[in-house]
Amino acid sequence: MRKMRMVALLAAILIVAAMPLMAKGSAEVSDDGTFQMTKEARIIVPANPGGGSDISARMIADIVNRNHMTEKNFVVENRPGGACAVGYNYVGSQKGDPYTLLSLHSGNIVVSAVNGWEMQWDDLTDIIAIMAWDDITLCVRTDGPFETIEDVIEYAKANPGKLRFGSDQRGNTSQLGFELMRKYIGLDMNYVQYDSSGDVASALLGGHVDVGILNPGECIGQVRGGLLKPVVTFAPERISGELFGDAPTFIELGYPEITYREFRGLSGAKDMPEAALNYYVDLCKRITETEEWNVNYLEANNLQPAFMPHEEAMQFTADHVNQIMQTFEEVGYFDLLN
Amino acid sequence: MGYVFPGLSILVGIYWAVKAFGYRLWVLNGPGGGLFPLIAGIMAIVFGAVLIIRRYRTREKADFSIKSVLPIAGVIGIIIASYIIGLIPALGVFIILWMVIYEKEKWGKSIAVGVGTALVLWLVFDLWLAVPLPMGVFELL
Amino acid sequence: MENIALLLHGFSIAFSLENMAAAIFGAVVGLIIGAMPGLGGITGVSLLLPLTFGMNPTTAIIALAGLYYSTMYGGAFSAILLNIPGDSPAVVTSIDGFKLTQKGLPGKALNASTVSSFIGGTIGIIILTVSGPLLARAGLAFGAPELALLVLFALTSIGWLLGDDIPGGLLATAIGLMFATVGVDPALGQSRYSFGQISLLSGISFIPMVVGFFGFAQVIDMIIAGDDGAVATHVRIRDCVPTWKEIKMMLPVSIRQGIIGTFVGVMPGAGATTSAFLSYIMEKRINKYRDEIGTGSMIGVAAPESSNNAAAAGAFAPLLTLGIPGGATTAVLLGGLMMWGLQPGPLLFTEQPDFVWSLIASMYIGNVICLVLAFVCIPVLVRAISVSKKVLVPVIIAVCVIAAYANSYTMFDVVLMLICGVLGYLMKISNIPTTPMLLTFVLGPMLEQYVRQSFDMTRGDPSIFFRGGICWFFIILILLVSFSPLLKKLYTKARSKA
Repeated sequence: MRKMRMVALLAAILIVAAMPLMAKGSAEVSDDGTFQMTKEARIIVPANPGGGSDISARMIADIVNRNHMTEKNFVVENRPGGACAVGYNYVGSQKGDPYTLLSLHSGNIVVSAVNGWEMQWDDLTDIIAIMAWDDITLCVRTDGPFETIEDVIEYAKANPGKLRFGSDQRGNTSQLGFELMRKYIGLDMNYVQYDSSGDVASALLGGHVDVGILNPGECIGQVRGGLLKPVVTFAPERISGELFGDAPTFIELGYPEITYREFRGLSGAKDMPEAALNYYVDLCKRITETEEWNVNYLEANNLQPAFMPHEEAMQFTADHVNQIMQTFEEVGYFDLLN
Repeated sequence: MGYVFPGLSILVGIYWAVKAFGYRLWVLNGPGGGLFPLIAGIMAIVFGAVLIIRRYRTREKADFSIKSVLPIAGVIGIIIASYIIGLIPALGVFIILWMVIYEKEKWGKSIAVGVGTALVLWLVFDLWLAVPLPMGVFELL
Repeated sequence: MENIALLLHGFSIAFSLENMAAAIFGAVVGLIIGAMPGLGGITGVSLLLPLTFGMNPTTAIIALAGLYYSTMYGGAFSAILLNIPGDSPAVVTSIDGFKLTQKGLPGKALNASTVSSFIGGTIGIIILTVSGPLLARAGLAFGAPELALLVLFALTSIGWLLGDDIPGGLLATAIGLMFATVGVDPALGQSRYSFGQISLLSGISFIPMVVGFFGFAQVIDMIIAGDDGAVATHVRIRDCVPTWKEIKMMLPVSIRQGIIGTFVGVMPGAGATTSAFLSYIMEKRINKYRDEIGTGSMIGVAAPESSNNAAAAGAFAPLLTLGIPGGATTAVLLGGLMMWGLQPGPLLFTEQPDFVWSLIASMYIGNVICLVLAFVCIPVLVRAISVSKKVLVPVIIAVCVIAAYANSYTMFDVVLMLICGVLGYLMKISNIPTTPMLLTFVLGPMLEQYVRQSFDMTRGDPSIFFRGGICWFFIILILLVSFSPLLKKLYTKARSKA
């Protein structure tokens, strides 16, 4: 009995002792309108560790912490579930909090718009900055029948309804590439949808689809290994580096309308104090100027450098979403629902 | 009580099957989002009915006990309490109360098990795995 | 032979102090996480991956790979002792494992699972060592139509699991399929049956569901049963040690299922659960002691455990040789490779031989570590299960709640766990088996997606399902399974006439 009472007492002491550790700071905006961090900021990742959003969040946190760029540290918190809805809505619930940030990926925003969430991306978050382009390429198998995008287009035109186009689930950014090619080149292809880019690469390697839509970071290993070959990019300019540099843009091929890019960056909870928002915009700018960001992150993952601050980024994103919604509207995607 | 589950299955099966048509059975030259739910719903209706008929014939009884409500009430209590005192303390308090009130165990032993479990869960989930747990009032401190 | 030399070189790296420490650390952590009800391989790897960020890649992957397959060992523990599978492959283990515990033989079940996990895992790693690249190439031959038929084959053989109560089992199958259709539909990418809940937009989470249906329902049952004793009474350590006869019974099963499991693990997306399930129904069909399987047989534990550990090793083949993930957990590991600054792809073997071969070498070592650790734990675990129900019941309830919560840090998952627990209890008192439900829940979405992909490829032409040897092989198997009762009847009729 005595022993047990001791344990209980000890536990009580521990809990009381730990209380100050749980103490929370309040947002500090000083009189001259500048913001200073008084507690750790969390970057919410609306997905599991290991994915693209997770890698970018950890990179940002690592650069900030290692170089002591802020008063307090950044920590990364994964909140997966509901595609990305659980993470986004969690950030939405922290309205006005300058310490809740979000790993931004344009694909998630598109999901919120196409699936008609009750609260849209711009109700839940404010974009702090776009910090990298994640461009999109179309790949073929090196031991397959196609060598260039011209081969693909020629075959698809000669054999309508035969070319198998491996891609993400419908209603995603990847479908935009398919629909734009259909509209502006007049290609009649079969849209084959997979759960993940890994599955697309796997089906492409096995010859179960003819072309696959992939980010460079998702296929660079197979491209270097000589198994896959990028034949075209959807970006407005060619992707840098020798592996992807040979793939032309659709603009060069004479289809300027077939252009779009995905992007990554940092968002924050909706309506945080303006001083805090400016503080983070400036921080993001400084992060994108570091060598670590450019070499260890952008180059290693085959992303293209970018910087677009809050207002410009919000406008750009809204336009991107509009382009997709309009295209989906035109092809009758929404008519298929209900 | 034996009719509850098959009966529930039939109701849910009907809902599933009706809703399935809205998700389309065949779309863009392939099975639509409604085809599998429709199959599942029909299966639930058919086999739920078979079970009800069989149960009626054999007068088979299911041994339901009112005691089964206790753990359910317990978890609901934990969920509510976790918003007030935080999840880990709520679990500890639940264990202590359960052992004292339901199992008629001594306070000492109950507190030891409750605090011990809470401590282990706190170490594993909060300290080590860094799972963000609801803190209740402790968040305001 | 070149592989052997490279492997020996790999061993020399893996045996360094740092890497051995990493392997042991991974194995210990994995065993604990796996043994926690509701926490399995993917959760373990996801939770610990961030900690390895910035570590030397070789050390990091050794720790994580050790963790990955030791969760397979640990997952069987809670499945056997508490009837709560930690992850989906262990669902099959719990069928016979928990029955053995109820018979007072938890030690035997744990030993059967540990030994067969070791045998299966080792076979998988040997196959990986000898023919990794070849194996991955073979896996690529499986496209959507082949995989659809494989899953369909697994689903048609559910009949063997149903036992006497066929309508009850089929109702459970229907419920599993209904649960499985919540979430994104594979045709248009829209959410179905989400009831306005954001947590349901991408489907019902497996972990809260399985914790509810198995763990929480089990607890309710324990309370009703009412006696004050333990789950397993009269447990003697002597009963933990398998007899020579039992070893002779399990050995061929473990070897056979280890080989098959490796190949199933290589197929894109098929993975450990499918292999565990296939191995179980195969033994139920062909084993000499098949009548005992399902009533608490060591073969019923050995087959899925050997097979799922082999599949875990097999899943590394496409990851290492092609840079594509074979399953959910290897997908997280793939992200890890990129975080550590490695480029997964076909060049990994030639550019990073130290990394690849020390990883493979560490898998041999890790398997031995897991075996030893598990043997040390078994007597302790067997004791722990002998604790009075008065203590066990509230503690399991607490663990169920936090395991469900930790799935996605929302109370919604706790509520989901509670609802599934109540449904599980209702099924139990209505004598409806829960296992077919969980298996269709896992396999249903795979079938739906593969069928959709097949139709997408040919724009609605079903002839794709007959496109080659692999397809025909599965079609013949499916026909044999479906008509086997009929064939059997005809055969006995013919014999009685003769």
